[in-house]
Amino acid sequence: MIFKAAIFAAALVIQASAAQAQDHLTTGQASFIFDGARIEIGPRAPDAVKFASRFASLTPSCDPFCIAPLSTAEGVDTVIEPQVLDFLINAVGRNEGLLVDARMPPARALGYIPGSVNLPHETLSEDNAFRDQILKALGARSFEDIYNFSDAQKLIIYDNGPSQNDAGLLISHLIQVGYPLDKIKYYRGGMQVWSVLALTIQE
Amino acid sequence: MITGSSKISFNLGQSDPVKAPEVEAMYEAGRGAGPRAGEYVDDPVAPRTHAAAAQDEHQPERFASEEYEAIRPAPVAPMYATAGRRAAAPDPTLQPPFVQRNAPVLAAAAIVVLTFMLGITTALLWSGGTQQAMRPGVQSEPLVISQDTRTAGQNVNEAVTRAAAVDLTEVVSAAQAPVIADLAAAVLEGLNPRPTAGKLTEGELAQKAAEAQTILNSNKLRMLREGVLAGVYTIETADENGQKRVKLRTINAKMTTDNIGSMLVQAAAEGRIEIPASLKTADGNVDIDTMMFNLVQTSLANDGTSEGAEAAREMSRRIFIASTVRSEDIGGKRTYIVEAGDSLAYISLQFYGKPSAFVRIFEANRDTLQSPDQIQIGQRLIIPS
Repeated sequence: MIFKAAIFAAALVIQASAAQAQDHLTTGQASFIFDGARIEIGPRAPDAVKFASRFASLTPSCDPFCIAPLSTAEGVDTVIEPQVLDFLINAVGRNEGLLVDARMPPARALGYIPGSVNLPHETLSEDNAFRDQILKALGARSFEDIYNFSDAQKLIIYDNGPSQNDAGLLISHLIQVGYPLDKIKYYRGGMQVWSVLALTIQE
Repeated sequence: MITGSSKISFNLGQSDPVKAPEVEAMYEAGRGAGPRAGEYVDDPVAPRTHAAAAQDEHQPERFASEEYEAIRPAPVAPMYATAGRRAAAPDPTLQPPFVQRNAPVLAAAAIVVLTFMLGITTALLWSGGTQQAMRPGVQSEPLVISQDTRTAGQNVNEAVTRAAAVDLTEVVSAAQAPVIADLAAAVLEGLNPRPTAGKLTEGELAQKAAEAQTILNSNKLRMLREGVLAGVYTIETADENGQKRVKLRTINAKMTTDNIGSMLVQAAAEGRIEIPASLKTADGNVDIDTMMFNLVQTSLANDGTSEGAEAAREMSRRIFIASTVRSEDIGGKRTYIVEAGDSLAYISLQFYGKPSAFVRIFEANRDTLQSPDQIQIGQRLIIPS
């Protein structure tokens, strides 16, 4: 009898936690205004298979094979898809943040997350003469050779995914110039996980 | 130490927030139109790219000429610190063997001291007797130089602590008074876009200058100034009525700001000085902190030494980094909403690192702002970038 009650109680607990987990699942949808146009992101994209195989077959950026670490820099959080979608709605949609594609243009041309901007990691390397203007475009204020980032945009930075480190490079450039760590997030899944989830991709 | 060669580069681009086109355009412009350029032009936000790139590229450095006014080449200057410390070191009880053993070192020290003295002499000739920045510790050797210029200022002011460099309190001698008077007048004048010179008679001007000189000569303000010159200060972020405000605090003159502040307010109340319109706060008070910052910075920037100029510049850099002020982008223009306690000079200090740049904000808001002292709580001000 006691045994049965215990099982019953355990079942209740499992059910409760399952229900809780259910609450936390997201539908993979986002709708927001970006640069004057409404952007819709949804699940079950019709061309998902094409994109998934395209991003799966990419050569990893380091030979023979490498997998990006969970965290790219101390103090920079790694985020997952629901946080990216939430960011698109609540930060990008309100002009307070940018979803940043750190890949070089040829790689971006393979497909990108709608509502993202391209900021190739090389543009922020120290020797790029336009770095100053890019930082200002991100909202930094400059005085002589120093920056104040009080007005700078919040960023989520991604690349092809775990097999690439473009995002890591861009993040290290940003940290180097003093971009506040709490304004940078790393979406490690990138295009590879995004495409496997059949979320909308733009080409 | 930052050299005087780097330039202020406010305001290069337009103040548009970043969007894909600009960034891509910059990338493109930086590397030349890449072979794959066509591949990503179908970005929905791309159409503006090339025009934007061209614009950015040809945007002249409009404010490059705004180089720091007071930075002057003074080749000898960087030696001050080291020369001073070495010169102060020798112990009077030295034994001959020690001298012999350390002959090369002493010889080197002697050369350094000589060079230093030559430098001082040059600087004195150059600045026509406005030397104010004798650093702590250097007086042991170059006594010959300082003796004749210090006759009037020999009395050490009693309120100066021992830690605060001995000679710093003696630097303002009677001979230098006119320079400081001009400076003080310039400080107060510089913060007021409507020149008062035309309205005042010669006598009145002289009287105002004398009042300002008294203020600048006051022992406590000198301590504040010398504290900044010696680098013993912090830019604090203080919470006041729920707002974060950045302030100058020196270690050697903690109470100074309040004291001088009330002194200035009193002088203004008695009509002895005029508080510049840019220092009137949105809630009708006088912005003492910014006034102090400006007095100290202007006096450093104009003291004719490279240390002074460098210290003035460092003040701007520190306050600029410490600033947490937020603005928002409205229609492509950086916009700031005035809060209680803000003066136009303080807003300028936060965005541009110096109070005197308020003129830029004032000019950009002429249609909604008749006079710098008429800013209102909640008013939206365009901050040109």
